[in-house]
Amino acid sequence: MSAQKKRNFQIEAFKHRVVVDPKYAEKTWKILDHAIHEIYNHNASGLSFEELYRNAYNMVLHKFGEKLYSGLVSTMTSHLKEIAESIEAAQGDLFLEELNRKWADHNKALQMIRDILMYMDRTFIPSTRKTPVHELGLNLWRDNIIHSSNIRSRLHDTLLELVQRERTGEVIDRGLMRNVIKMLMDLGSSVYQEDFEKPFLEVSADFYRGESQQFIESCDCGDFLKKAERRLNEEIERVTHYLDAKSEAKITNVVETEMIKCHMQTLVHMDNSGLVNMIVDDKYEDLGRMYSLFRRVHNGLSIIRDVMTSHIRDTGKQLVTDPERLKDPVDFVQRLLDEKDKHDKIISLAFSNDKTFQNALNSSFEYFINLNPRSPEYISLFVDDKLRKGLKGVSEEDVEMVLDKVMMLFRYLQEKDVFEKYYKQHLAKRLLPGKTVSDDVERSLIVKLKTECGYQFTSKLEGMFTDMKTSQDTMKGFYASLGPDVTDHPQLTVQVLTTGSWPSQSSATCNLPSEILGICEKFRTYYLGTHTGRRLSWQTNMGYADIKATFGKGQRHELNVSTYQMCILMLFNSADRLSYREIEQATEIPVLDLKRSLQSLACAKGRNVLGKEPMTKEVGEDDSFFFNDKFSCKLYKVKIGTVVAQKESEPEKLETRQRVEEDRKPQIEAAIVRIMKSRRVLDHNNIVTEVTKQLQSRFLPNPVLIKKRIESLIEREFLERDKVDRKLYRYLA
Amino acid sequence: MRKEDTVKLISAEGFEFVIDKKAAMVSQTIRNMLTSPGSFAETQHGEVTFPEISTVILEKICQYFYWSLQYASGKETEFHIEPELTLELMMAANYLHT
Amino acid sequence: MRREKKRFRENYPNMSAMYIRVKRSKTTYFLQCDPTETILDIKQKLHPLIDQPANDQRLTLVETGEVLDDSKTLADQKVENDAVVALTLRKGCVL
Repeated sequence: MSAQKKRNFQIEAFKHRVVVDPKYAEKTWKILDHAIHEIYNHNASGLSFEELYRNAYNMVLHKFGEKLYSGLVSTMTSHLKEIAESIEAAQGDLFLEELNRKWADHNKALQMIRDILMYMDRTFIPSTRKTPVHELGLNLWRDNIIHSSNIRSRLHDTLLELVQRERTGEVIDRGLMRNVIKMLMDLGSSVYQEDFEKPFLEVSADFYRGESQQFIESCDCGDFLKKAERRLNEEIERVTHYLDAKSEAKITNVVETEMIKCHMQTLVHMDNSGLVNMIVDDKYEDLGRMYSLFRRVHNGLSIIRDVMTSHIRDTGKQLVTDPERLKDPVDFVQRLLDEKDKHDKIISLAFSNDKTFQNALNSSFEYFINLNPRSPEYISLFVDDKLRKGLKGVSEEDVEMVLDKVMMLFRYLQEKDVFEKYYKQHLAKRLLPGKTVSDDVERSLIVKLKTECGYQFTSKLEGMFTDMKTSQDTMKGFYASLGPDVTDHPQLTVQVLTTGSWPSQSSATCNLPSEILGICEKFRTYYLGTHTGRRLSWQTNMGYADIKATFGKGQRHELNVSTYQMCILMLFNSADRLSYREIEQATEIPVLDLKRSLQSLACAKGRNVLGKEPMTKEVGEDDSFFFNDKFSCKLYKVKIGTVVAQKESEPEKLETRQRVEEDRKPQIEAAIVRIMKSRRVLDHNNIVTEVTKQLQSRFLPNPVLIKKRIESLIEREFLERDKVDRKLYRYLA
Repeated sequence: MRKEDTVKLISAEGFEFVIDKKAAMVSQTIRNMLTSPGSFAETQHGEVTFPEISTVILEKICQYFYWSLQYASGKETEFHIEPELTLELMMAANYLHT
Repeated sequence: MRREKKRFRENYPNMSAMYIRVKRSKTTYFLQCDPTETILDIKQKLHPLIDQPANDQRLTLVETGEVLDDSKTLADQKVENDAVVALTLRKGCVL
């Protein structure tokens, strides 16, 4: 009875009847022995459970447990020996079926026997530390059936042969397999492992070694991977159908080792079908398969990553150093973006957005973009192109996307300060003639740069926007002050640019035509009158003008030109023909700009409002120019020689470079002083490291340059060398 | 109540107790008897004869089965055992593994 | 809350709440039941076990000798847990 009520009782099992019959035990065992036979012979229906239970109960109670137990062992053993014979006798495929059927019988019999002998299991077996009935039955089955010399090797061969047949495409009785394998598992994990799993793994390794050798000789990389993947899935499926779940890791490891690990290098570098070919041809499925298979193997992914990295570096290097590509900056950058898109897509579609692959891609781009010193300029030119015309009719979101992509390239740049220089120039050329597509987009880009590089980086760029805004107000004020007689003058729009915020320009002012000098003077007076203590100088190189012209057949056009071009054209109001020298003298436009302006006025097809002699494409200093009477154009408004930002000429490039170097000096010095102020004493190498670290978000300072700055700071007594250790510097407060 | 859900326990004197199988299975011995995979006579006929258990004790055992179900579902009452029955009852309980 | 609980009890009688012992000659039927069940409910439970329809059954509470009324509940007639109830069958009925 349950414990809760009998806590206080110590129960001595009651002996039902005093046994006096000396043959009691023998008689009782006979009944049970007979019952066990009947059970094995499927004849249990006539037996009374109660009677058998009672007999076994009484035997144990009357101290005949040992007899009961040993009787059970010998009866069960003799039955199992009979069973073994019948299994051995089964021919061919029937062998496994017979084994399975007998196993099912034995299991059922065992359960029934255990039930009627329950009292023995409960009391006698624990107290004598004997094996419980169920376990005993399994052990006897193992020893008499599975490990009998005629069955053991036959069973193991049969199972492996069935697996092999399944591997070659035959359909086998999986239910039967499952039952037999389950039997081995029921007999204990060591039985399963020794009698099946171990030989199974060995045979599998041999099989896959041979098969993959054959595949590697006859298949291309993609096919090989498909086959390997299929094999792997088959093995995983096999485990779910009829093996111990714990075997999955072991058998997949065999397939991985034999089919992938042993052939990784060969596969990746396979001629015409290896990893590089897959990348070039955007074979996402094959790449994805390679990724998921290789990741199962130690070092597998790093092999893919390394090959991918060197491929990206190589193609990237070719791209940025190919002289053909350098001709068109916009195309150059577009190709970089396309390349990035391509690999991003591969990483996302095939390499499951693996972080380490993304990092490898980024570092590859960083590597090759900086191989070309013009990359910062070109990226800025690309933005310029987009902000001028490329983004018209494109939705805000797409614009943002393009800008984000550009920012990504920008991030790779080491010389971000060079980019800033060019960006400023290009921005100026967009802002002044109002060539920018959208103020919002411009500002959005500034915000991105600011997030990337900080306030300092963009403060001057923002200053440029402020100047533009202020100038609008100034002009309103100016025209209000002029009163109603405005129409007499040419319309003048002035943008007042703060020195320093804008790209530094040669301050040489050209000679303006007398027609506009008047209004210019009025403006100067007005401006200086409202802002005291300021200085104005005309940046004639940055302006533009709309002028009306009448040609030979009375055709009237409005010409959209630069200030320089205006100055040139106005000369032809009083002369039909002028030599280069005369124009130069009259306007005092700097040589390079003059040549450019003349070239676009006289040499551009369909825009040649001037004629030139001789009719060459270049402007020579001995050429002469004349008003082109025959000029005609379908449009009323004619845009001439726009000041589109073009990539710089060699001398300009050098100049910009010099300016960048010049600007770096104070930044390096500031960094040195900041570092020394907090560290007080530091050796040379450490200063170089620290400075580099502080400035790398803008540019990579050259160690020689840093050394020069240190020397300059010593001269100016910010620092001194240590008296003893000359490599050590001290900060002088 | 379905007949298949009940089992008949018969005492030494031939008295019968028809009880729920669920209650009978409070006894591990009866549980094994009713659930053993072979078809023993008891499973086929739905009755078990206990030639060594008297009627009084068998009825008390049945009452105990029901009390035990009630106890398991949270109803805490005492199970009353007449002192003169104690020994015999305990013996039967051991036999029935209750 | 209490009413909820009560209604729940009415809708779902708790079958392990109590049992009664129905005796007739050498046979005892243990029936699990709920105090809210009527005598008729009990008789219907007995029907498949004894092969006799409820009409032909008569139940008497042994302790008091009171004949139990079909329409009343166990609780109404003070039939408690472990109670012994005698079963007789209507005269003329062949057994």
